[in-house]
Amino acid sequence: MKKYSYLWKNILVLAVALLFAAVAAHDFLAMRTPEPVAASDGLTRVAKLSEYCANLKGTVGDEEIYMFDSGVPGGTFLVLGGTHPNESAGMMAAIAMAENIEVTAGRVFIMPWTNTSGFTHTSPLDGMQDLFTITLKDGSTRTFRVGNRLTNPVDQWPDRNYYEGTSGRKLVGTETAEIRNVNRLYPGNENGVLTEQVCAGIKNLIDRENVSIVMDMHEGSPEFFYLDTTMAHERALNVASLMAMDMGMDGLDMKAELSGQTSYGLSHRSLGDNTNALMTLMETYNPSMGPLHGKMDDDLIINGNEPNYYQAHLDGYIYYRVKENGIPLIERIARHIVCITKLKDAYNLYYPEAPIEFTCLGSYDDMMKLGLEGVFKPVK
Amino acid sequence: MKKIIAILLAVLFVTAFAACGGKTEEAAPAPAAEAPAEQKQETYTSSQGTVDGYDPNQKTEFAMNTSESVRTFNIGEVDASLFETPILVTSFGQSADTSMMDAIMKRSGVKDYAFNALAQDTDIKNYKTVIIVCGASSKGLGAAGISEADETARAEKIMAAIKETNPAVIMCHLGGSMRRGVLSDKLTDMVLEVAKYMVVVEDANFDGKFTTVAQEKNIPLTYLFAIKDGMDVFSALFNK
Amino acid sequence: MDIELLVLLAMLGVFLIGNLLLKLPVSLSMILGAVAGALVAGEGVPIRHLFEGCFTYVDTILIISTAMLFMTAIQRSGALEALNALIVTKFYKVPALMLILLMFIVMFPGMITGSSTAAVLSAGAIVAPILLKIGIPKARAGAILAVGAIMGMAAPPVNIPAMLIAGGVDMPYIGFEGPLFLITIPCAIFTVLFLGLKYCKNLDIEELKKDLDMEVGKKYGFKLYIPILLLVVLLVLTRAVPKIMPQLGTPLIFLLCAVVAVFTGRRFNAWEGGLEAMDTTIPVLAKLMGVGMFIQILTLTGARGYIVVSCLGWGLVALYIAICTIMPGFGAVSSYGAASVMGVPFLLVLLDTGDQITIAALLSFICCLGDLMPPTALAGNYAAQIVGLKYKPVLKHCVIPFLVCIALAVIYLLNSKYMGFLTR
Repeated sequence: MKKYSYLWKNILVLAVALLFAAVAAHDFLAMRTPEPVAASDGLTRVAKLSEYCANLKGTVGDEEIYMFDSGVPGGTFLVLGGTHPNESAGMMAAIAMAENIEVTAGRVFIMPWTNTSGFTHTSPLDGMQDLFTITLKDGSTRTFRVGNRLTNPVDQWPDRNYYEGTSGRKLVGTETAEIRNVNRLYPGNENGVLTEQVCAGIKNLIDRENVSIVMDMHEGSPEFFYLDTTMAHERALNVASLMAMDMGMDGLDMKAELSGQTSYGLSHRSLGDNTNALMTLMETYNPSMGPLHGKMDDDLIINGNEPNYYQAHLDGYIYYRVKENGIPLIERIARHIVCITKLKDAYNLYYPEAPIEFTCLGSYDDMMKLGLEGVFKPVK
Repeated sequence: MKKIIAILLAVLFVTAFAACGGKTEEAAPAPAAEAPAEQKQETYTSSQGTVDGYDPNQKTEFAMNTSESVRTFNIGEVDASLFETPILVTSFGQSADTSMMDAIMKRSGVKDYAFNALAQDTDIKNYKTVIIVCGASSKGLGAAGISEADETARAEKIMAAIKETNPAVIMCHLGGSMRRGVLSDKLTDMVLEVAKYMVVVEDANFDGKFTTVAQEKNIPLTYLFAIKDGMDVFSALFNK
Repeated sequence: MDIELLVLLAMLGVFLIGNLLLKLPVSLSMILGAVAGALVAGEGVPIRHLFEGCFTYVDTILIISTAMLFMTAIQRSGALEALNALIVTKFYKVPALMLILLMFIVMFPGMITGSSTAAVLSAGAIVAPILLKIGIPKARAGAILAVGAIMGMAAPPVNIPAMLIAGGVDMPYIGFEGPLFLITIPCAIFTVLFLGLKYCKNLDIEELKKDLDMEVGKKYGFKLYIPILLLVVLLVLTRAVPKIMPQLGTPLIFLLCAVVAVFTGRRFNAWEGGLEAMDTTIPVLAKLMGVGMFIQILTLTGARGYIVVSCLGWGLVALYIAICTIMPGFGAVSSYGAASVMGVPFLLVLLDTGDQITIAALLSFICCLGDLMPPTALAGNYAAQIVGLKYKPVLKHCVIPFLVCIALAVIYLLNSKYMGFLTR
């Protein structure tokens, strides 16, 4: 009899665990549907990354590349969003660009979800949102994902105790998890782990399409030292400096900083060293990423207002000039798009032989006036 | 017994955490360099640089002449006629600031200038004005593939050439407090021996170094609040 | 009152009620606390977050479970007993050295599993009879085991609170060995000598031998130690020559060595041993899951940010006092929780006072001491059980070593800027 009740107890525990898992699974599976994109009329093709790294075919890493070709010969600008899916402004700016860009010379390629797998889960202990919703001008809504900066362990696991990437970066200790970080594994390896295959796909894309300049869009927690900073490979420093100067003239703080010689595996170092493209990477402020953040909700993601960080800044612990009312998502998206536009202008000044011309949502003030509700288009 | 411990623990937690809520004002003297917030805001600039040897937590407070509203501040009178074209822009220390100087010149519409961060002593004779952007960066030196000793030797040769051909020299320090350090200061001091004009992002003047030099050597000095403010300064200087 | 404070109080309150009044296991109490916090914050029951928190430490859980299988295997095969016998017969003439070596044996399982429970239940159970036989009173022997287990938990290579703190500030868990050894070894030596040395005069080796298993060592000889050596060799090789050595993964290494132990010593029923090992480990694993959920909800509701920002406003003196009192005090809930909830913010505040890795290591050490705190007092309770006492008399003898440990940690903390060389 005792054994019998023991059995039932076990079955009951298992059933509760399964129920718990099923409910959670429902939420996690919802993160596997990518955001719809109402691409602008200039869209010429949606390519797949597997065209540049065949091993990605049929995997979660076989992501979309939105290609806008003006038909006028010129250079090619590659825009990477969502390298780190928890850095929302990156993906959002990429989608906003894909929906509003008009290219008149050269080509622009946009990848909104560079680490597609990272968008399918959230970061444990960080209490992150999985989804957030915005309301557009016509009253319709759009929902976007907040993912994890690393590839989902469901797609790539376990992390090895030791790993040496193709860039020469060694991953040991707790950096072992970085084997799932796209921005540590460049230039990648076509036959490596999933994350490396994605990196190799991007490198091949740059090589085969002869990409001239790349912007990798990021965000950092308020503690991070390089906020409102563009890291540039040495070949791209003049273009980035000119862009920083131009943004300064518009009243937008921006620094240009040289990529570290040993920042192996990061896009600005290892793609800069291994391709002909001018590599740049920009960071904006995102308070939801830092350990001091308060309640995690849509408001924190969308309005970027975290009084804890303002207080910590006043107390002298945060170097970054945190604003009293925070930095809303629209401001960070605008900053990214303006940065890319100004980079394009600076590039054209230095490389007039292969020009890239596009317009996208106008100036910073224009975008701030439009707001999130105006920058994104309604989708069916 | 256990209940008593539990209650005691609960009380401990409650008082501890309640205390953290209210006690912020009367906190004991906290880590170095605590200062009123407003003052701190003023001393920020958008200076750029690397963190090499610089601790952002060790902020030094000092009264600045420039601010968000007062973008530039002059000490002494600049004689613009001293600075003729052609102009060379070069770097002592290879920091990213040099590239910003190139951007300033481009956007100021200055025509007759050459940009060469790694200019050699033999180049000097071709120019009437030499702008030297001072500030050492290990990343920059690494990118150029040269050592601190190489860079110091190049700087010394250039200084010798300058003393020979006597072009007008402008010392630029654009990196702010982050670009102050042993090597940066050494390179800066070399240029200050011959400089006819200094343009400095004021954040770097936390110890009064540049004001003192300006007064002692009677070199005109313009403080910038941020790098971009250099555009007006150089535009006025060269687009005469 | 701030909503975050309310959430925090609800979480701690429900946890304490569950654990102390309803006598629920720590893990279940933490889950209830987490759910209560989410409800107070108006989040409902956020299943996704609870699930995610539960799975946070899945890699650590694999390591601990396999390490426990290994410990049980070498315990049952007779390797640990043989080691005891070896130490006592070789070193009885130098009792201080003998005690220190016995202390290291107590620490060993804690060092490789990062769990004080594992240390007490495996090596502690084997060393205890020797300590008692030497003439050390039960309560003092219990205190030696409890503190030794905690020193083992804090000692490298595996120190889970240090991993949690490092992970919390994006710092790799590298370079912790130096500072952790420098604090745990002196504290362990002090404890065992302070509590035991005066009972170790005039030892009668023949008497002692009666309690030691002198046969198992002789019967199997060197073979007995093969699993331990294999473990050390594999762990070292995979890290020292990673390019040549295939990456086996720590759990697989423990499993392999456990399997080897089945064949190198006394015969035992591997299935039963495995079941027993898992039985002992499950509460620890469940605790890790509970802690994961608890912290996830603390972060989700903003209570964690609230704690950090509040600490930032404290000032250094108050902060050091909090480090010595509240952080080990939090160990009554969970030393892992203390590391994640308090350790991370305290480290953020102290970052610019000295060497960061050393500070993180010392904070993790103080968190580990929380395992002595009643009512949960994992290490203390199990140690008391082994020597056949209630926890209270054992605890009494832990007080002085505890204070010495805290004092040494604070001295190191204040001088961490001179200790940076240890972390390279």
